[in-house]
Amino acid sequence: MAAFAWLMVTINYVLRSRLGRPAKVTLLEYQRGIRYRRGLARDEVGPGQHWSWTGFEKTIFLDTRPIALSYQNQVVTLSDGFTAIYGFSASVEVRSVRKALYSSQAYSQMPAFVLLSCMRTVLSESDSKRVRISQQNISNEITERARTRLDAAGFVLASFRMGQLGIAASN
Amino acid sequence: MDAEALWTAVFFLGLFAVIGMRFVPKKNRVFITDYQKGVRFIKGSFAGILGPGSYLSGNSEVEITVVDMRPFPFLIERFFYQDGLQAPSVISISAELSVSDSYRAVTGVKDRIADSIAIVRDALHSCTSRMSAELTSKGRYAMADKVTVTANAELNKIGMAIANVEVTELWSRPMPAYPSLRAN
Repeated sequence: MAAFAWLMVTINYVLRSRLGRPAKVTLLEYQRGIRYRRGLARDEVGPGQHWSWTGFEKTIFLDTRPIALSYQNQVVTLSDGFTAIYGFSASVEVRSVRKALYSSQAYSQMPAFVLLSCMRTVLSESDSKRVRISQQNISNEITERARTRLDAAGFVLASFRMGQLGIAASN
Repeated sequence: MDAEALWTAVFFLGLFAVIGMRFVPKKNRVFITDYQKGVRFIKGSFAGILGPGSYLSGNSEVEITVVDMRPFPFLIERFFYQDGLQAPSVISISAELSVSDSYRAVTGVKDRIADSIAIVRDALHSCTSRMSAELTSKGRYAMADKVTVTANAELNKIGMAIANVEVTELWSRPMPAYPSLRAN
């Protein structure tokens, strides 16, 4: 009987060196993950406890709580040489875990990158007259551009507010 | 060999195996996902690029460096320069850096992101100072293409590449109209 037990111990050691050991991964209710098997994405996992073999499986998870952004006193040169000062606040949520994970090396920085790019592009293409009289149109254009790009990266723009926009000086 | 002797042999084999495992140097397992690549070195020499999977490493002979192949978005904002006509100008760009050659990216530079952004800034300076800033959207695309080509020529040496360059801001002070020059 003892010898049989030793046989099982030996088999256990050999299997562990190949498969690793079973490990439990716990995802909280605001986390979502992707389970990889032998390096390839296998399935998406939600909150709860998930078992995986440490030798060939791994779960990579993201925090899906809203990402809040707030930028103030940003400066941009308009198309007619005037300088505008702007600021905005926004909230972005993860819509697709897989897309968000693959969108960039640091998924949480992607929304800021997209919003800052869109904001600067739209304002830089506008002139001072447009900035003075049609701020709502500018805000809508920024929102539309950002929404499209964020959607492609697996995010959804939950809210956007351009709190600060004014002409500072002429170059 | 009777059954008792066989089981005794199994018992001692198991005992030796368990004791022996204690003296084997512990190896780490390196997990490479499908958005990563591994660069394997054996006894300090390059020994291949690894794709997705699970690999043993961590002892003194085998070393695996994992490289993230996903894009790294970045912004260069308010870059002031003088264009080809010496007019004071400003440009901002957004772009994505990614690894094109994982071996060169690991062995060529210590901090590939910081060094790559420095190279892009140099490329931006070299492109913009030779061109006159054309403020139309066509001019922006032309500038973005030029920056992409110039930066990639340098980034390629360290296994990096830049893509999706977008000129988010471009302005150049109009030059005053000088009276026509006449011969004395």
